[in-house]
Amino acid sequence: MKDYIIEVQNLKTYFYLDEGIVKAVDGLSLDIKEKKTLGLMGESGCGKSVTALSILRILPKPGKIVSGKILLHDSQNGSTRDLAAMKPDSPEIRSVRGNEISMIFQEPMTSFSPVHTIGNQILESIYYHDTQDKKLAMEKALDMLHKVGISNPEQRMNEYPHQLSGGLRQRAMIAMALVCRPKLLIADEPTTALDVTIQAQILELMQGLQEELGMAVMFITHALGVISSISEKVAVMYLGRVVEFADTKIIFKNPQHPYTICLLKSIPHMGRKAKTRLEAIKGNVPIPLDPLPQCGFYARCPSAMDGTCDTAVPGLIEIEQGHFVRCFLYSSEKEAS
Amino acid sequence: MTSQAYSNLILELKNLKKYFPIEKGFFRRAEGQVRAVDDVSLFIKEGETLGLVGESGSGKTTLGRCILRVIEPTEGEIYFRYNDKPVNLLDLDSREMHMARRHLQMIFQDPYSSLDPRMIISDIIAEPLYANKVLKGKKLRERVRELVELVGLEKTQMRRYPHAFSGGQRQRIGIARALATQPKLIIADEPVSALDVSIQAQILNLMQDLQKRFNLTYLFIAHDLSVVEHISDRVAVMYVGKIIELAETEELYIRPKHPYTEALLSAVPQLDPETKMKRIILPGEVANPADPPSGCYFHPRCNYAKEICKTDAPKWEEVAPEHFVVCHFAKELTLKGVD
Repeated sequence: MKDYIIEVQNLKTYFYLDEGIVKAVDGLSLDIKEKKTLGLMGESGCGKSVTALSILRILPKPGKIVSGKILLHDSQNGSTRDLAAMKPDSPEIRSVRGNEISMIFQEPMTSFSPVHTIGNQILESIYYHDTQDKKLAMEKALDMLHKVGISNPEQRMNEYPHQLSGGLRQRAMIAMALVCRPKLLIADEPTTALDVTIQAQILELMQGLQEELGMAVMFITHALGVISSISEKVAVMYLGRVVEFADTKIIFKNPQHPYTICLLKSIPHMGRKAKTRLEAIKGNVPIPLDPLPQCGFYARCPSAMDGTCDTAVPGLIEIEQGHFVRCFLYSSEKEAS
Repeated sequence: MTSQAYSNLILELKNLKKYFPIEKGFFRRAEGQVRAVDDVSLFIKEGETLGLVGESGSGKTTLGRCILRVIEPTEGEIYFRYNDKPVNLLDLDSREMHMARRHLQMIFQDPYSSLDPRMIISDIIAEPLYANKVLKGKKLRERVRELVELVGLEKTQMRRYPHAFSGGQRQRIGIARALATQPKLIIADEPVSALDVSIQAQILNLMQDLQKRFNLTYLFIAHDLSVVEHISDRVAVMYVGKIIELAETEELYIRPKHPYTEALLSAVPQLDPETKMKRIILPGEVANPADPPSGCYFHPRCNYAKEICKTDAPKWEEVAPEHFVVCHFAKELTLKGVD
């Protein structure tokens, strides 16, 4: 397992509510190789963001990591740390956050502090992780702002988030995340709130920076088109579990899990004859509140098998080299509980 | 635009403008204007879907609301045909407008904020019927039940409040409310952009089924170009308050004539990882409608801009049958569309 930067093993993050237990992430395993991009795809409520928050240990309250491992590998000294075992407010995890792993959020307006200037917010993480030298820190911040394509960075440093447009704010957000040169960047729907032309700018920028800085990226989104253009591997999530995991090409050309197949059929493709009918998936994404021990997609699945799919959770099986599927259509193996 | 050629128009806009004043200071002096809708002319044929695309801030929503006179337009004419004759909606007084709105309805983007959280579903759907004095009593209740089933909800859910429904179900309620008065034209303002992908398909299918069944006409406002391609017969592209290109869907997507349309189409992420389209990266952001650039509004971002684009505003011309463009070089440029 040498060239992996992060391995998540059987992660379970539950939210304990009065009504019951919401199993937001329920036995999730994935890994990202160094300098590669993993796309994490799924609809809202399937646990994408909770996975990201679990890795950084910034889960909001009643949420708790119940079991599982989050292994962060360091290729330079060969050490491995388990983030899931750290305390959420310990110095160890603090030295990881914003330094080795950092995160970009969907809505840059709500994730910046409105009462601090862009410059101060970027400098904060340099002071914490890198250097106390004011001049050097300033240089680093300006250099980063320049890299993300913000013109006139000296002036922007002194501006507040509300003075920037959506696209610029997202660029500033990227600058803040990358200023300490993390090894893994978690991007949680970074382009969802942006217009298509701005989205194209940001995706281009992120790909360029990834090459330049040599970091791995975990790209979370529900937009299938974005995933296909940016990532090497894709993990499709449904109800807190990865249901299919393979190379991007395989996921889009030869999907095997019924959910992936349905999802790809249900969205309009550009350039296809207009006015055809879409094949919608029936029903809604259920809330994982005290879920039954069955396949999460059972109620919506067109090829559900009564008596099989509703009795146990299928295991994640490798059906061909590097192509994992969680479905009883391919194997009768069950998930160990 | 020569609109007389088409007999079955349901809506025609002529030089519609909406300028919002920018007010400053204690006396609210007008300091300038935001040209949200700037001289828009277009028409919609009965039974078709006209897609209206553009980035945020391009004036799509303002245009939609001006047609309903929810926002009062500054200038222009809106001819809407009902009771078999075209009527300029801007000539109507408030009582007459009230009557006309029965034939014009709207579906909103955000299904969470467009339904009153203190009303039960059957009241929400009944309100337009009640307010327009179309039906009352037992007939009203029957009609509401019919509508609820029409959009694919259960009768048993009628007495619940909006919070008990998911996003997709709420959008169905919004559609039922819009259909209640049997309108001819529905203005759908980003009806699926707040929904998940699997739910989006359900709502698009529902809208298509209802269109076929009741011969509805849609003005479909969206920013997602693949959704617009899927549902529209014709597409209009808006940029800083102006329509810059209008054509039949296939024509516009395969043979775009405006550089902005080309860039928009190239920016849409493609599903197939092998056919990576060359993304055209437009520099900068959408122009500020309060202080638009000189000449062609698009020239600071345009890859093909020449001297004339900085000084002269291009004219609206028909470059191919029913394909309208506003660009000086529409006939000379060969632009790439969708394969």
